[in-house]
Amino acid sequence: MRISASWLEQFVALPPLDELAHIFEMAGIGVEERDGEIFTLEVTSNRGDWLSAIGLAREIGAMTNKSMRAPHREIEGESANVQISIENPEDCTRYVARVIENVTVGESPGWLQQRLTECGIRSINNIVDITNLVMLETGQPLHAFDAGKLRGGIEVRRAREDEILTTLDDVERKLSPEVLVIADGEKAIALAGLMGGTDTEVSENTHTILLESAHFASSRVRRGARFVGLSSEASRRYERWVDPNGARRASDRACQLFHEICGARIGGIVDKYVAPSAPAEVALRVGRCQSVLGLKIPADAMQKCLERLGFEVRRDEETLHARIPTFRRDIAREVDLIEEVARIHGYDHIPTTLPRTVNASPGRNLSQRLEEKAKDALLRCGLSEIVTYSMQNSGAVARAGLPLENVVRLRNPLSEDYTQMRTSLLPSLLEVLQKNARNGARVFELGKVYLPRDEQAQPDECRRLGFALMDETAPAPQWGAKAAPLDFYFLKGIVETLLGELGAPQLRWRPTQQAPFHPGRCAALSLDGQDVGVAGEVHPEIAARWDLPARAFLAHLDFDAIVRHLNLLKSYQPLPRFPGIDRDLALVLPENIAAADVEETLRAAGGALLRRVCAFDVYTGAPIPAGHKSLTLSLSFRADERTLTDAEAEAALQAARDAAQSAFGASIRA
Amino acid sequence: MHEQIRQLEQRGAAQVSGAQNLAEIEAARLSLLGKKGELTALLRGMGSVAPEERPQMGALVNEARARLENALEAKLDELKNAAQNAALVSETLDVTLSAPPIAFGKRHPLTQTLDDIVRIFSGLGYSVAEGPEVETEYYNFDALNIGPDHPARDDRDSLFIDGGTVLRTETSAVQIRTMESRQPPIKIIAPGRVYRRDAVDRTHSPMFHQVEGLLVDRDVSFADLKGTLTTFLQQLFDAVPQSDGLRTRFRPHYFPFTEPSAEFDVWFNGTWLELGGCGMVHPKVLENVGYDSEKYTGFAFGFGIERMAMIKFGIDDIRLFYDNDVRFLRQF
Repeated sequence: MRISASWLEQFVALPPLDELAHIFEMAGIGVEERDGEIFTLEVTSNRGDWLSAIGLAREIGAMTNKSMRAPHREIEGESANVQISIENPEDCTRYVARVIENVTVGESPGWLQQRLTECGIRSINNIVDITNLVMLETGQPLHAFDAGKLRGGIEVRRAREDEILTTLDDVERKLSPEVLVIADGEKAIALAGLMGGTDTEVSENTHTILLESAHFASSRVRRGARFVGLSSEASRRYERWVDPNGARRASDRACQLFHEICGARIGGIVDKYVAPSAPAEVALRVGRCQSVLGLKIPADAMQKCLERLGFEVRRDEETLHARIPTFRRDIAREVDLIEEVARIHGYDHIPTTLPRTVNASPGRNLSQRLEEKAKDALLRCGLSEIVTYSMQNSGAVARAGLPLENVVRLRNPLSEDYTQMRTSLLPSLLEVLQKNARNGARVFELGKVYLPRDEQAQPDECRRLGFALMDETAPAPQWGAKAAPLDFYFLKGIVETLLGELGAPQLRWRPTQQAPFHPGRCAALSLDGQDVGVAGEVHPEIAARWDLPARAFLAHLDFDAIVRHLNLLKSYQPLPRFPGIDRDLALVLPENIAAADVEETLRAAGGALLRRVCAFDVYTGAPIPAGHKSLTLSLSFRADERTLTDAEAEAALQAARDAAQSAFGASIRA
Repeated sequence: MHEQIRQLEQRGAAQVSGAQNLAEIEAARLSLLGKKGELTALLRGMGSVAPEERPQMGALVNEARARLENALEAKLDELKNAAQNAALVSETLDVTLSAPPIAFGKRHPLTQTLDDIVRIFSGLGYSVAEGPEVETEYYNFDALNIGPDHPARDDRDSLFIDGGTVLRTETSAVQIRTMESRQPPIKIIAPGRVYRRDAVDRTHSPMFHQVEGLLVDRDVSFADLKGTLTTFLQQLFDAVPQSDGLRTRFRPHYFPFTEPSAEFDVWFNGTWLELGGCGMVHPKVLENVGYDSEKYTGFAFGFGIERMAMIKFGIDDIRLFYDNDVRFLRQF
């Protein structure tokens, strides 16, 4: 339903447009789109009355507690000489026919055309436009027949088997008794509630029209619509429910406009109302309403909510009896009134509680869940979890080459093996490797260390994540490809996979020297400039002290620090739609230049088109001069919105190459 | 003799300290302290020393020998260390070189999202219920107060199989089956695949995933429904930075199986996003399964898992979930 605010304003005082949008939403009318003052509204299938300006205005009035502006006056008329027969009152409870004479068919005035255009309806001629306007205004579909083309009276009946009717869209349709039709003395002339026929269509030569304002049953129109495979503005309304008690009013309103716009004379009327609809009475128990909503709303306030909707309410102690106007067929039982109270009171003003049997227990909190996630990631990398004692002895710490001072000591240790609380997981990890010397191990522990604090009885308990990797010395023979031996880069790959899975930003690695690591194979790790751990190969001397038979690799991460740097919201990066171009670049550089520095320089110089840089080969020896190395990098260039040209990739590559030359004195190796 | 020892020791010390490698050290040791070494020779030549001077000379020689042995030992350590350091230095790696990728499997983003949802509702005491996906029209429609004329029962909207069955259009049927088999209190969520006759585009798919929840007990209110979904959304989006907590909104809506009904929204990136539908279970639905609708009330809610995942991960096209492009799957 598309409608302009200024039209609604004719029926009720409106708040500012932003507020109006909110009021629509909070009434249950979805705002699909807003273009200036024109709203496109989503009307639910239970509320046919909202498919009209007056119905919407009435709802706004109820929500904002404003009354409607004066309704249109009634138009009297003598009885017309038209025979109306209704085959089955279940299909059609009311048929109002009116004769309008001396019409001049022509173009509609500008304001009328504009109203229709705003509502998304094409202007046809003044007669059809008026019927459409009144439908949009009142919700009552109208149809104008050219009275001069009618053969006899109006008959509302089921179509005969295979009866033929050509509808206004110029389609010849074969009907069945599923379909309700309007017929004259001879044949079907319109699909009831759906669409008129061409034979009785209003044309330039029309002088007298017969205006139909009827109530057709929802399910009948729906079945007819399904049978002929058609849906129209009229059928959308009938399928939901059109108020039978509004048929006469809509007819009157149209007559007023026919007179004003087409200079027509209003003729006689026949109002065949075979099964009158009366307002239903529905009871609402105050206590029931309060308990279903979980809202302590007093009976008076409840009554006011219903009265704002135009319901007449009678109170009988703790029960309200509401008379439901016939335009609200959706209100049938107590619970429907409870919803009305909730809507008018405001869903926002209903408290937020939990059922009495429920505790809001989040189970593991976010930080605990991250522990789970880290463990899960390491398991997926092929590591197993270990559990070691929190207590250590100073000998193990010393053997690991770690400092001995500043620890929490036990006053009464159980044995000499467990005298102090650990400040690092590394000695335990070495112990586990030692125990598994023959079989090798790929293990991790996520546990606490206990760091003494000045002037505090209790130490700081911090989470650390340690892992240890070592190949088995003599693997049992087996068929198939042999796994590559462990090395530093495998360990690095696990650390990076883990941190990527957790959502850490780019991890930086820089060489460092500390126990118990190999001085040339140890790196400090940092996130956003803060150190979060260390990883490397075990120093051969320390490996010897622990009787480790193979090269062993350890990492020790500050899990709490890592958690502080995580970006927990992973956001999707669109997949590339256009092909990229890959280039290799071989540089000769002083041996001490780190590959990461070269990559970063190239990345910065390569610009937005350079998507990936990765050093993949290092070579020293002839013909590379002593103290130098050859570093070969792969560069991938790509644009998001087009296929990259060779020239563009070449230019970006050149920029990257120049930057490497000036930053590192690199020369290009052919 | 005295002078001889002094000179020998001096020369020996120089030889030791001048040694460049292990071989030279060994040579120095042999030439000084070996069987045929000079100091050994001196001791052997002790016979020619006057008997009263022998103890003194012997002591001098032994002291010199001890000093040289210490020097040898120290030099040996020094050279060994140097050799080891040289070996360590020669093993130095560029730790900044990128690591080869680890084989690392990923859960589908829909599964990750569903796991989160199930975890949160488990914390609220809900159990997970399941049911058939090829469902009877009775359970899929009639039992839910969706009458024979409802558009959902049209061939245009749902996918039917002959014999009165339909690919379930929501998981509510699971709720009906659960209610039929048990008495309240009931607290379940029913996650799973559902099917609609929607053409595939950025926001539609003929198959998608839903979670529906149902709680039936005495004294269950609409306020409880609001509280439950608010708690759930706060926990689901707890990683989303919000200065003033997660904002939720409940708007009136219409569903045949709930009354009052609502749609619920979350405030995200400066706009309200619609997440799903909910409401108090319609008394007629409770009556259909034989519950006393005066004694028991309940609420139900449902939402799409795709929608939640799209919001959480910033995904703009539902088709990506079923394309299974590994470059997509790797991102989550």
